[in-house]
Amino acid sequence: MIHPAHQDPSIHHEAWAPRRSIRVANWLDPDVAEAVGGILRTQPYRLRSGTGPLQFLYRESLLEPEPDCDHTLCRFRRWLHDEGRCWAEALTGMTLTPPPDGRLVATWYGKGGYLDPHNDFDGSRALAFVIGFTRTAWPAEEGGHLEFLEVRDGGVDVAERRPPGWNTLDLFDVSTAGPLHQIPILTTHHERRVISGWFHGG
Amino acid sequence: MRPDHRELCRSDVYAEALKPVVPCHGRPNLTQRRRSIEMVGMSGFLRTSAMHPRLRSTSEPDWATTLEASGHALIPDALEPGLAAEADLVLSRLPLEPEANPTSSHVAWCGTLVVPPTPDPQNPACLYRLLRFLEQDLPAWVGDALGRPLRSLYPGRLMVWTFRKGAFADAVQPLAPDGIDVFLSLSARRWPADWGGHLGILDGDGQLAASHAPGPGQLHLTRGWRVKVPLVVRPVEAVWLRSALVPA
Repeated sequence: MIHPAHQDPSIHHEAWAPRRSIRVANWLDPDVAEAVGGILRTQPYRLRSGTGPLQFLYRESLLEPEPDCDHTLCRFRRWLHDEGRCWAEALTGMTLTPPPDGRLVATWYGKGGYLDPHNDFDGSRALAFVIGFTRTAWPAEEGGHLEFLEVRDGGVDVAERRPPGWNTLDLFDVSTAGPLHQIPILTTHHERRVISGWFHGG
Repeated sequence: MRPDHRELCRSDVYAEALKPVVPCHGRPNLTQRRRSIEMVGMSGFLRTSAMHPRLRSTSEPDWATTLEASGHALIPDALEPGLAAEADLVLSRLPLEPEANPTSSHVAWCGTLVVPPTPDPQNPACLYRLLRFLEQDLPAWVGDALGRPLRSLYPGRLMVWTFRKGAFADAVQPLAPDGIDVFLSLSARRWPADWGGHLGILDGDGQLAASHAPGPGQLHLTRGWRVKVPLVVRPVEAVWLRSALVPA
């Protein structure tokens, strides 16, 4: 399912190492990206908001594990949690296990969608992944970009900003309490669509 | 097993029950059966006016002239003292869930409280006072000023419309195109307009004719006008009640 140019994950070692974070463009085979991205748009989404300290607002679609299902998303889920995970292990050098609940989680940020600053650390999660299925582009000022933050000189700065993309893969190490990241509120009518989640530690 | 009434507004026990009876982006289908909070009424709470005493004694309502002439009127402090503050606190604790309309032109935390007229002192008195205001005081007061009898389009219901960070409404159609739409603000919190959440009144061309920050007990009456609420971009909250008046 991976694009032929990325079959060998070792080509990304150098880019991964400094920050233990990377964006890979055109990660999936284009036909796979088209198939998965197209089906994501037909899935049922539920608008969710944060009720605890972490505030967020986005639409979410959960795909429960169905071992014998031949649906494109089910096959993709199995592949991501197995071969895709092994590919990420080879790239990062980390020992990874699939998400314990086996779910595939798709999110869709429309106007008003946001995810406030947080880190993903919980002692079990090891590597965060975000697979982009967003076809359109817009400036960062309109929100919806993935931003990594750093606290410096009494202020909070954006250390790195990654725009939504099509067939992109973002990986970052969450095995320690960092990095802080956020999705600023989307102030106009755009659609940020991704599959995201975490591989856990071995 | 039905949760104890006393738990109303205090926890998430009603999270499942509180599915909006009325989609906030459209007109309610009162014949459609949906789950809702069924509270028990208390007639004692409904015996006296819930309107601000100042308004009860007003003999020449300028707002009525404004409403007839421009289609929109703003009446500050329409509720009896303290009622907005009490109701704001109670309604802001409801376990509402965000809702988006099919065209994604509207996101808000909405729900409708159904209030059957059966006594039960366990429920917050302010809810009955609000019902008294919307069902009795307001129709009579507006009807007297306009010279025609009016009634609430949604008897026994409190339609809660809450805007938190991420909520907005691009252009909300009136509930009663041939009647009078009612927007009652309960929030005392104030914030700059560029944080969003203010109520905008749109003219016939869809242009912003007026914009108003939320205010406790602030009453907006509109005749067939659409409204908009700009995107809330900061962690603030505006609680509104919606209703409508139609000929009796």
